[in-house]
Amino acid sequence: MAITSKSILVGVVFSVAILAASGALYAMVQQNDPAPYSRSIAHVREIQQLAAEWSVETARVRSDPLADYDALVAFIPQMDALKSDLLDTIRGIADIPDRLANDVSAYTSAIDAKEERIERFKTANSVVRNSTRYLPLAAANIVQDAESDTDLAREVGTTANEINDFLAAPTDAAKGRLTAVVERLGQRAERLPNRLANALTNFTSHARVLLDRQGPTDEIFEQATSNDISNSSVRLITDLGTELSRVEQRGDWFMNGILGAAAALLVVWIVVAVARRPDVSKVVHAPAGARRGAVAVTAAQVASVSEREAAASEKMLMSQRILSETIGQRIAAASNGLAESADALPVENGAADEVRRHAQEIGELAERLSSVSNKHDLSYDLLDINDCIPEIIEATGAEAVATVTTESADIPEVFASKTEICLMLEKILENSVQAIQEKGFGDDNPKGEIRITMVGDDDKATVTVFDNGSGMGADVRARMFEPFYTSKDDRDGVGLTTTRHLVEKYGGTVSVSSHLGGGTVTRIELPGMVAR
Amino acid sequence: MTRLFANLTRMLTRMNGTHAVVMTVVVCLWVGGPMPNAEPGAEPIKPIPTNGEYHAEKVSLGRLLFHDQRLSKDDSVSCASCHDLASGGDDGRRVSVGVDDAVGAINAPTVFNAGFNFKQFWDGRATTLEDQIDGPVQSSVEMGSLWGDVVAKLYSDDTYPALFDAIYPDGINRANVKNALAEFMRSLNTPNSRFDRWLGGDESALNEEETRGYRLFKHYGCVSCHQGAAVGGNMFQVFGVLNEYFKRRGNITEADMGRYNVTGNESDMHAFKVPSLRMAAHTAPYLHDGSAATLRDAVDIMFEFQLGREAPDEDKDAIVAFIETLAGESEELWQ
Repeated sequence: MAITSKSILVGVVFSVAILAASGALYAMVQQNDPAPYSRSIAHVREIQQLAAEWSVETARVRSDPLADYDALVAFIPQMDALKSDLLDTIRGIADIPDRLANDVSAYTSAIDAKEERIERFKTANSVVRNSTRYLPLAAANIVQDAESDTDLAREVGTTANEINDFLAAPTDAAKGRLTAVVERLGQRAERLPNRLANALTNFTSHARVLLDRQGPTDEIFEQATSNDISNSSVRLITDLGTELSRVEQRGDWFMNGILGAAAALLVVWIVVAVARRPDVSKVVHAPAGARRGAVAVTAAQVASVSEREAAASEKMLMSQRILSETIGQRIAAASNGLAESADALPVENGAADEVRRHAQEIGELAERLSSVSNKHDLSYDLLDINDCIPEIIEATGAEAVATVTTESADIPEVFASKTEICLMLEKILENSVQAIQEKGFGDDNPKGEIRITMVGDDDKATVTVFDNGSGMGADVRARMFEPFYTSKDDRDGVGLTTTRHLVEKYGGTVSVSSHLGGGTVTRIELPGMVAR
Repeated sequence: MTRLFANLTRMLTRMNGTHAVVMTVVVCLWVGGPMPNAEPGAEPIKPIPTNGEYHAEKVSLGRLLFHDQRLSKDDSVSCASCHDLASGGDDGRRVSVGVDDAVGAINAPTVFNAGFNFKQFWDGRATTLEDQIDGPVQSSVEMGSLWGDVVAKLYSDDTYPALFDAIYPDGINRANVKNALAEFMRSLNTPNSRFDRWLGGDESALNEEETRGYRLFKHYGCVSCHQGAAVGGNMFQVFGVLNEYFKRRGNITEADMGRYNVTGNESDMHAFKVPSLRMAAHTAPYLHDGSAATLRDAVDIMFEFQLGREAPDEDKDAIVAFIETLAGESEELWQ
């Protein structure tokens, strides 16, 4: 009872630790939401589109002297709404990198600047296009009124033409010269009759407007319709996209961490289950007989059954321990991987340290698991592998499905635990029996065949198990050593995993050659400790 | 434009050779350039839309608030005190008088069609009608209130709490008071004016003098700035573009600096939002300083300082006749 309570307590402690770690990871997953980044990118695209349309409308207004500004003005609330959507979305991201937050605020300032430039353009454009329309009329009025003053008419006409040329291709030199010409023309008004003087003043004041303002208006138009929003949109979309993929990647890491924690949890409880199993060597197993429904059993039968149960228990225990150890190692490897991945995380928001800390926790748990499961109390001795054969043939019921032949020649003894070596071979034989059953040998078919050969030289023992069972396809072959992988519904998928683990423990190798429908050859090579 | 061409051609035939060459170039380059669009759909003035949709309950709540003197600190002034809907949406004064008989700094604009203004106030310091309301309610020379006091007074009323609760989940607060008022103001537009009917194809809606006035309004360039559905209200413009108005008038006040007060940009000195002319027929006196007593005075000032042009009296009178056709209909008007 003491053992049971203690192991459950350990299991609970481990579980709480693992759950806490995965809880922390889960909280980070929640915070690590990529959705606001996708939404921001969508907002920026809309802004980019609207800004482009805004520029087109600005150009339309410029080229049409009677266009009104209502459509141009209607962009303002639309743009303001998009801008505040973007800002709201960005503000909703708790751990946004400072650089990106600054980029966004620079971006919205650029939008404000565009709005202001369009505003200034509207004001300037109204004045300039008004004077542009009026100047030829003013010139015509003077020509009409100045019939006697042909010099004035000619000069006004020439000036009007030159101003027109200037507007088409403005230069500072032309501006300076024409400003002086217009100034001189204006001074002549004093000496002219009233009506003509007024007409000339009208002409010169509109000429001045054009000379002074056309250039700045062109300039502000260029600024108002420049590609700057488009360019900074592209840059911002790139930056947001980079951050988005980083966040998504980070999310993947966190999820891996959680999966690792789930695996660790599973292992903890397997270990607890193993530890809780009663020590069969000390407990009389009376109920075993009862389970079979026997009403009365002899003491001898009880003893025999107990012995078999004890052996089976020990093997089961070992399988599970090995499994714990294997998975423990895999978790340790995964946590190392997670810690390495953390190096790729951005330093500034502390996520990397968090991930590293959790990875370390998981790694420590895995190590402790391995050390728990490593406490095998096995006896090692010189062993003749032949000694295992009758035992495993019986355990697997091989002779019920196949003709089993055994050949042995010059095989060296190995220094090993008999339990482990027998288990290693038993798992192979189990697979063979399974494969033969699957192929379905019966009365019409020749019986299944299993051939076990053991050969050796000075430093190596080689055990080959051949069967003419159903064999394995490439897909199964590729995964047959994975823990819990099985191609059969009624198997636990730990057989070959156990075999390989044990073979490797003794510094040996295992290889499997098989094809679907054509049987399987499994070969184990173990280093011989002492030549026979 | 066709007539302009004909005039110029007639004129050029009376000129000697050199003149004719020079002026032909002038005429071809300038008048032959981008011509005003002749199709009716491309008029620079658009009709006031008749399909505006407003939240009826907010509008009627806003109407109550608009006429409620409790919005002012001593319960003496309501919005309607300076924006009298019955007389065109303003108060007929040069500048308005607020609480404690305080005198305002600028002419009260009409509240009709204010929803079409791209910015609010003469200097455009508020973008939305909602934002604009903070100005008059809190200004010491207008209503002089604190929002907390206004909300408290409305709470103690018999009817407001239920009216607000029916529309706004969070009941009476500053934002909701502003929203209801703004919705009421948005509903205050004046479609179906004689000019809009004329734009819609009803040629009998305007007489000959008035259509001539519209042609001149475009010809002289008034339409460069007074355009769109509200015939104004969609840009800023410097008052005194071609001649310096303020130098002539003197005694420059802070309000005269206009948009410069908002932006601090030298180019915005004396810039104001171009006012809508829709209700001009009923909202004398005119200009930000209320210095033009009649519409004709305002037209004279515009010609001199904004257009830099002379025009015969009969042309200016025709323009005034045209402007008077811009006022449309509203249920709130003349009630």
